[in-house]
Amino acid sequence: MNSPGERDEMRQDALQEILNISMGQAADTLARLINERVHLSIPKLHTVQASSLNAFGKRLLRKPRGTLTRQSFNGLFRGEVLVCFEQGACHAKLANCMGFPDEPAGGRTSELTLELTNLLASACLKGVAEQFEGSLRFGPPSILSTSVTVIDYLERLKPLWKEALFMEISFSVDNLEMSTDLLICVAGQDTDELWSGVDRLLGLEAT
Amino acid sequence: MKHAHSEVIEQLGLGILIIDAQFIVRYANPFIENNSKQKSLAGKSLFSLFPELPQVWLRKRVESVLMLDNTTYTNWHQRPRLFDFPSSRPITGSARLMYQSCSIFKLKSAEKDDLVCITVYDSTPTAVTQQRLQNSLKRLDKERNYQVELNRKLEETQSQLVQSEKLAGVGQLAAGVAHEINNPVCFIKSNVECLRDYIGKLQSLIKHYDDLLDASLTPELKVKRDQVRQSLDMEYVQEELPEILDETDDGITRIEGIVGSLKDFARLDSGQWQYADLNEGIQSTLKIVHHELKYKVREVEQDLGELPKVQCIPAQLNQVFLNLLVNAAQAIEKTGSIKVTSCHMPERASVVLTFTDTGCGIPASKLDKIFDPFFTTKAVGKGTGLGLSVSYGIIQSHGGTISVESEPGEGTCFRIELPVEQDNH
Repeated sequence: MNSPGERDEMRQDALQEILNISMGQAADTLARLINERVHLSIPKLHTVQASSLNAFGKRLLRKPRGTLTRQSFNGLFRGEVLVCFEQGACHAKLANCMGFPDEPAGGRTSELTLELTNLLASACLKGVAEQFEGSLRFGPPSILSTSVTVIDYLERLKPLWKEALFMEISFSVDNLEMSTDLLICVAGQDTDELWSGVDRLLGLEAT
Repeated sequence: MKHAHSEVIEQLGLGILIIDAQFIVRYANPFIENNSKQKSLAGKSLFSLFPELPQVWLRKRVESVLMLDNTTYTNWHQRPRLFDFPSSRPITGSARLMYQSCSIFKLKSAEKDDLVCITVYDSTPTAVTQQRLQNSLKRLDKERNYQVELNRKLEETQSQLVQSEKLAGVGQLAAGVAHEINNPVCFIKSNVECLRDYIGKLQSLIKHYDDLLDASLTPELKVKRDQVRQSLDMEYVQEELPEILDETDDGITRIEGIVGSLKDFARLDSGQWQYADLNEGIQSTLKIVHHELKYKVREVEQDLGELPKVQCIPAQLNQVFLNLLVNAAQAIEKTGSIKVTSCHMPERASVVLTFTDTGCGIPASKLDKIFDPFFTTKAVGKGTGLGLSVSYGIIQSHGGTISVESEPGEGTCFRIELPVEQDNH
């Protein structure tokens, strides 16, 4: 029998492995979709206390400021994906790859940003759901702010959660000056479903 | 239950369209059929049924949905519609076509090919409300900007008023000082007159003594007397005395003139409507601003015609004259001249005054703004603080008009026309 500490470590390692595999698949899918070489970083797991968002900010690999979008998901477990598109990034160059007639302007830029959010969130979480042998459903994405960092935004809120699990992933595309950061967030009260999925995979259900 | 499911889909206020990977319609619920006014869509090409669809974009979306097995969304806000369906508010709406929010997702099928479902949600009511809200917000924003502008104007007016009150205070002080100076000047004048009389008497007494002494003195004593007279330089003193008195008189007259002008200018005792000679007002104002003008203005040409007495508040009009004269002087960069004219226009029952300078002029782009109550090219607090706006206000309150003609580099002419009689005073 493993001690609670050991079990937590095993769970974290397993989740990390699940995420690593998922990101590999996601990068491949996205590359096929937009016909460009795509890079997704190895996900970094953060357990975050709402009372110490500042400390979380320091642990983040990057702190881009730009358009912040969100998309909720539920099913196997529930949470939200936050995507921060760095200001000045040439997302518009992706427009053609994604079937937009020309470099979109105005409302169409927002549409492209939202669709990118949808693609990234779906691609990154698809592999996770598959490995858990379950499914996830996504709500429509929306724009939270157009000039903000994730930490700035979260600090402005009075979060309903005390603790949450954040999975940090960076996304970049070859030949395009853009880099985008993605956070898969699961509030503390919703992590049980996630961890029980991990436990099933690890065969720890009985413990 | 299967029947119930079909019934729900038929009745749903949501468009449901199922296509296959070749974009052939497999099913369309009545919402789609009714809005597209087409029946029996199944088996037909989506793009031939709905040529308005963005084909390249939609193919890419469907491809990603099939690849990721996810749902993709469109929102009316970014993309008002996919299908050119008529608006669901043909009477109360403002757009001809329906606003739509759509979702596209994969349907797992027992068939060989996967199917894709497109749902079409009528967002027209939300869009209409949101657009109204947006319009209200825009209006509120406009009103807020207007309020901010009003506040700014209010601050400027307040600042101008403070300046104006300061000037009024200075005028009051000047009038007070003038009054105080007037008293000693009066007795100085009276004493100088006495002095002139007494000195005259003393001089005739001396002459009388001299005549008597000339007849009675011995030659030695005469020489002695002449020596005393010479040592006291009496001949020069006697010659100079009348000149000194004349100069003193001249000084007193000038002091009286300045004091009179100050009192005329301030007219503190007469802030009431009265009949006044505007030429006098112009002249007293010219005396007041003489100090301001003398460095730059070579000549102030006055061509003042005969004017009837005009019903006015003289102190206010004097302030207008002062403002125009000071502005004229400020417009002259090095040296120049000012011309002031006045004339009576009996046929119009009015008088016309002009103030012309040979200054730098006003650019045409600013000409229509100079009477704007809050337009200024000077820093607040600079100049008299009584801007042209105040002059404009004073002339308007007198039922008159003030206009300007200017040629940059040549000069500016302000023309004031005032009615001789006021209707309401």
